[in-house]
Amino acid sequence: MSERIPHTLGETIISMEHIVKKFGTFTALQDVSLSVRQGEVLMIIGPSGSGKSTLLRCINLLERPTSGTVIVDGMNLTDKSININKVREEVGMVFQRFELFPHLSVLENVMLAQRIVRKRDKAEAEQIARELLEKVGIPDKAASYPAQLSGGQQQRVAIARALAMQPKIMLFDEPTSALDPEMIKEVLDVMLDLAREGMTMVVVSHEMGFARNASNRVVFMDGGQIVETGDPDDVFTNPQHERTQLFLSKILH
Amino acid sequence: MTQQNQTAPARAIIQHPAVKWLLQALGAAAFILLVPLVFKMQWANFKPLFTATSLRFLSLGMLATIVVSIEAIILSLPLATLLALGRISPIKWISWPCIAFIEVLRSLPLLLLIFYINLRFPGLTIFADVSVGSKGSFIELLITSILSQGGMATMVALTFYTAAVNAELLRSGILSLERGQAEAARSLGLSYRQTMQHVILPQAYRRILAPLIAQFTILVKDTSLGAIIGFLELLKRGQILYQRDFNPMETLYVIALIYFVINYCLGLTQKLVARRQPTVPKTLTDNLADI
Ligand SMILES: Nc1ncnc2c1ncn2[C@@H]1O[C@H](COP(=O)(O)OP(=O)(O)O)[C@@H](O)[C@H]1O
Ligand SMILES: [Mg+2]
Repeated sequence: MSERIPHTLGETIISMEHIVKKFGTFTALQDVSLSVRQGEVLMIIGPSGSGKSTLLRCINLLERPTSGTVIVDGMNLTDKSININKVREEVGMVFQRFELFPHLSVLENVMLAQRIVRKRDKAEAEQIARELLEKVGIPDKAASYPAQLSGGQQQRVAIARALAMQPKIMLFDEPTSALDPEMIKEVLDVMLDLAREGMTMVVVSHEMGFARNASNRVVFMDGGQIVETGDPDDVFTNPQHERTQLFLSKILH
Repeated sequence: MTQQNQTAPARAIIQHPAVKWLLQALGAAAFILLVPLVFKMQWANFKPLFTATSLRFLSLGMLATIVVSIEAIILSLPLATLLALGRISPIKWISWPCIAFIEVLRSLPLLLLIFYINLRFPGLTIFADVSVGSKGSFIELLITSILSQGGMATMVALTFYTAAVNAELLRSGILSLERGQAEAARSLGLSYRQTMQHVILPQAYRRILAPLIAQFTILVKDTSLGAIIGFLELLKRGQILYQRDFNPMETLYVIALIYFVINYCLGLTQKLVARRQPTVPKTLTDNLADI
């Protein structure tokens, strides 16, 4: 794989403090604090059920924390008076299972929120959509429907759809784990490009190669807590905690 | 092996849309001719039906049935949508009345509803009731029978009843969608209402299209209940004719054909809507026999 990407870091753009998330009596996140600076590519790793998705989803309030504060781009999301839709316009999200809108063509998928939320006129939205499809490498699929695309292509459309809102932050929840092995690279390449352009990204994924090349920081979670944080090379080659060592020994074979 | 090679083109011919359509039409024609033979209908008894006055009399009923059906279908759609959305609303003072309305209306006999609306709201129309002897041009008679107290009460009852049934259908369609669809839309900044309008409802309606059209077919047939409160629709007018001409079998047969054609056309709209849908992975029925 390619060289490690240099990161220029700006102001803090995501700040989460003492986040607790309970589902009924079950505590999925126990007092998690985490902040992300502009231009960072943060990887979150950890065993299944450790709370990675829940933490990620607290950033755009798909999950509402039971307690704690979340501040994104200067807006306090836990403040009841905040317009959550305004925050979400600035935070793109990519899902494990793509979640493209099957009744809309690829082009319409990428145009929908631009038209409705950003209120762009049709020509402008279409031009932006076509440019983004070009960028993710599938300009020829604009007229197709999601069901006609491979998993890798669908995920790239999903990335284009999120980018069309020109977000300041991109969240990825296991973007490659529903893909066949031969399609993983085409999606990671698009993400790598984004990282190179300086996009702030929070990525839940176990793709070690991507972590080493694209990310500047890795967070290891277990049991609803952050166990270890550090430079990707350090965490992968020299994990400090026993739980991290155990987890890495399982996924690195 | 050779046999398969021979049958392949034959199968292709049979599956050609035009040939398929022709075979279906021939089958329908054979069936239509067979029924009068089996039930020993008399050609002479058909004759009074094909006089100008009888045809005019029946056409009025047919058009009244069609117009009242279309009215009820069109009005029931937004009402069903609102009821379904109301029912899944997290706000209790919205969801509870919707649940009550849906459950009560679905559990009542439609006829009871027609009686109730007819008695409770006697002033649904400004027109005097038409009766068999009423004078006037074709259009006048048609409008007055559609807008008669009987026609209006039937239409209102059918609208509410169908809306309640379809609200449940739509709700099941909405709940069958992946949660991730709504999450993807919301995470793009769409509001709840925009998510429903642009992402959830279009998909839910596509999923329930077939049972929705089936419910509309039931609606068309149930307009005939209006006859009991004096709505001069197709079946009632047929009854009046055969009581005069003593040809119930033949008259009812013609009426049945008319209902069949109306509902067949309604079924065709499903094909039209379905054709405008994007290609999605094959559904189970597409290749059920090939699995
Ligand atoms: N909506 C929910 N209701 C109840 N429990 C949930 C819900 N979402 C997640 N959980 C639980 O919270 C824990 C953390 O889940 P998640 O954040 O999805 O883990 P990960 O993404 O690390 O696999 C899991 O035990 C999961 O079962
Ligand atoms: Mg997860």
